[in-house]
Amino acid sequence: MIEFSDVTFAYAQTVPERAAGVSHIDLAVPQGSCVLVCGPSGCGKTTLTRLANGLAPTFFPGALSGRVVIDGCDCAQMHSWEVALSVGSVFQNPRTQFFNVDSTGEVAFALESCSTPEGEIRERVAETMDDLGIRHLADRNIFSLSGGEKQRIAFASVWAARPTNLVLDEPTSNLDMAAIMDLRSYVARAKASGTSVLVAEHRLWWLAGIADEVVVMDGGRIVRRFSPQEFASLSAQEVGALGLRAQSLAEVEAAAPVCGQGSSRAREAAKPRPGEPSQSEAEPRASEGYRAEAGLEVHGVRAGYRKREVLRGVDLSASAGEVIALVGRNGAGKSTLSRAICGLAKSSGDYRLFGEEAGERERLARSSMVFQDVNYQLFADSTAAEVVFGMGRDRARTVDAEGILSSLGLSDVADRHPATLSGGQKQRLAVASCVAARKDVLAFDEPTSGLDLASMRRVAGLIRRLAAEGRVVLVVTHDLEFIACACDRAVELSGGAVTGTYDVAGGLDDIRRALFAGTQFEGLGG
Amino acid sequence: MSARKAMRLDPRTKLALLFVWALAVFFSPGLPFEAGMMVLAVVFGALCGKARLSVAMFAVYCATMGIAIALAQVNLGIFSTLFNSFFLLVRKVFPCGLLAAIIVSTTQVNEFMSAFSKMRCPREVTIPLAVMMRYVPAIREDWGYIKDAMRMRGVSPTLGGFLRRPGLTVECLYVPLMMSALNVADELSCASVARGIENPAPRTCYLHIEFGTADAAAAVVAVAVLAAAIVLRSVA
Repeated sequence: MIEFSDVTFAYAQTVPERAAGVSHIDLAVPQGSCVLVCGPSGCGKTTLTRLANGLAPTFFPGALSGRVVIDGCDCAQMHSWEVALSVGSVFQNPRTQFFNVDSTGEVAFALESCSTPEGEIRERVAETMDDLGIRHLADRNIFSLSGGEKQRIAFASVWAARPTNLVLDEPTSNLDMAAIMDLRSYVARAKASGTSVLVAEHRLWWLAGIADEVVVMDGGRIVRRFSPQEFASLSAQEVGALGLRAQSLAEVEAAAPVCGQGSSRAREAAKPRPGEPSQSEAEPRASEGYRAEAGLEVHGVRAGYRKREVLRGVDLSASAGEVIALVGRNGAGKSTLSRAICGLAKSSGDYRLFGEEAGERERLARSSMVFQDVNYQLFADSTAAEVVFGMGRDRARTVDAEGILSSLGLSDVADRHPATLSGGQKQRLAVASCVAARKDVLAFDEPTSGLDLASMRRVAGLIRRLAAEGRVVLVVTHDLEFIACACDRAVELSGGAVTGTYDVAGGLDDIRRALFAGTQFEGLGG
Repeated sequence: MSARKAMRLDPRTKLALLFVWALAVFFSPGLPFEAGMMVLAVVFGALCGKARLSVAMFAVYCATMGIAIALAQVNLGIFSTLFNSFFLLVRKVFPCGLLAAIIVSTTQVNEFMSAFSKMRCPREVTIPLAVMMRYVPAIREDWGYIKDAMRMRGVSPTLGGFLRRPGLTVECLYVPLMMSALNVADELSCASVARGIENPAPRTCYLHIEFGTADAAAAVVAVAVLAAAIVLRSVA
């Protein structure tokens, strides 16, 4: 049982993040129930989870008033490890919550911390892994696990100690549908066994039927509270007006026009059909240096990763101006395909860029990826320098860095160090460098993971604009709302080959099915 | 997991072995003795299930020593000091380096933490060391992304690229690595505190840690090697 009574918390000045505090929170998560806390970024929901697991104020110092009570004990009187005994926490990023290098050791971690005898640990670990159906993940090196597998292990490591309370802070941000559905079943199981579950999330649909109360926060305060029935009865527009993501994926289609992108979709009749070779009759648009029509054509691409064949003959074609979603399960070959197209992964097959044959070197020069974690692709010591980083001096002089920065809303931060920018600004900065280098093909990897509605729409708008300027944009994504907002077509990959191509305008049913392929919940929310 | 069960030692024994090995190298009477120590380390590696790593390092060692002996026959003038000090370094460092590599690659983080906790080592020492053990392999994963990002910016992530534009290449490497390290360090410590790492109770480990016959045997061999080194040195 987690109880907040009139809790106000403000982070100390020394806490570097701009995380928002909370004020006058009254909230109870009774035994065997699940409370979903949602709201736009910076609304204070993460702070709420930190108060519940004791990280604030012990790990994140700040001023606390009011009482946070865990199973009848005042949190303020407890040591961090005492709170840890009764509150299990799962965080957003599966990559950074692992302390061990082997999966089984990770599951044992909490039990080892509280001095459980080794025989009992082994029993509990084995039991937990069987219970959650992840026996096949035992004794694996964590660096060989996918994000979804890591998050399953992260849950197991918390669940092994059978805490009476669970706190999940945006646990699905980096997950594919199969992993989300597994997490859903874990939470349902925990709830059924009497655990109190507090979840802070942007993605809401996966908790439908599980959450017993939905709490909407804004500016550090609770602004609305809904029973599950009340929440389910809200229309898509009402949910959107609260700044929230869709509560049911079945409603996503209806919500699509909200983005106002439908009209600008490059879905003209003249567009070549996928698979058909197309002639580039149009003259290059001199002002932009782009050729219209056929942008990217890929035929019979094969590629391997560590001696395993990942792509088994992929055919794909995309016009300039088109945004293509690449969907499919983990390991279907989505990232390898984007890397191969960008000339980063060794592959065989025919590639044509804007009508001309393009080898690896050519593709590398004309295409670029924008990573999920853009920190890896920011190198310079100021935003302005980042735009032209890596270019020769002569080439850099031809770039209108100021113009590019202002078009991406980064003029104000031109002198700042990229490390001090917000996540969204960093992502736009990575895009700015691609624009400066005149990249024609952009491949985004999960650009909307962990984003609230407003930020997701902003990214959707940005991606549409990049395409409208004559580029081909590929997006690896599991985010149906984003696909509805920003993409023209979804290409389904499975087992290293294209198994379906679906027009977004033709309805989202097929895409929904593709996203849920391989899970038991293919009809969820439908 | 290999079919044959690899020998598992108490992490404390492993640390002691490394210490004794370092002393033995220090007292070693000469190359034949160190080569013998290399052979023993290879046998140890094979028993611990790290045969490939051990044999590979042994091959590098033999090749380097072979070149050293060959070069000793010709007069290189001023370069001879340079080469000699390099070969001496390899000669002395490799026996310990191989042992350390075997130990690090066969010890899990939790085994290590539990053993240190049993030795009553303060957590202020154990936790940073454990984080280091966890972080080093993560760098390889980071490197994959950074390499891709460099190539997209037209910076070559190869030795040739480094020689052509050393400053730029180094910058490309350390800036994202630092950013990622800061981020990981923050979130990792946050997650470990939330999972009770600060609990003052002695840490246990799901793997059995005990000083057994294998530990005793390894210790006897190591001490015998050290004794032999000291005796042979004083005889010479």
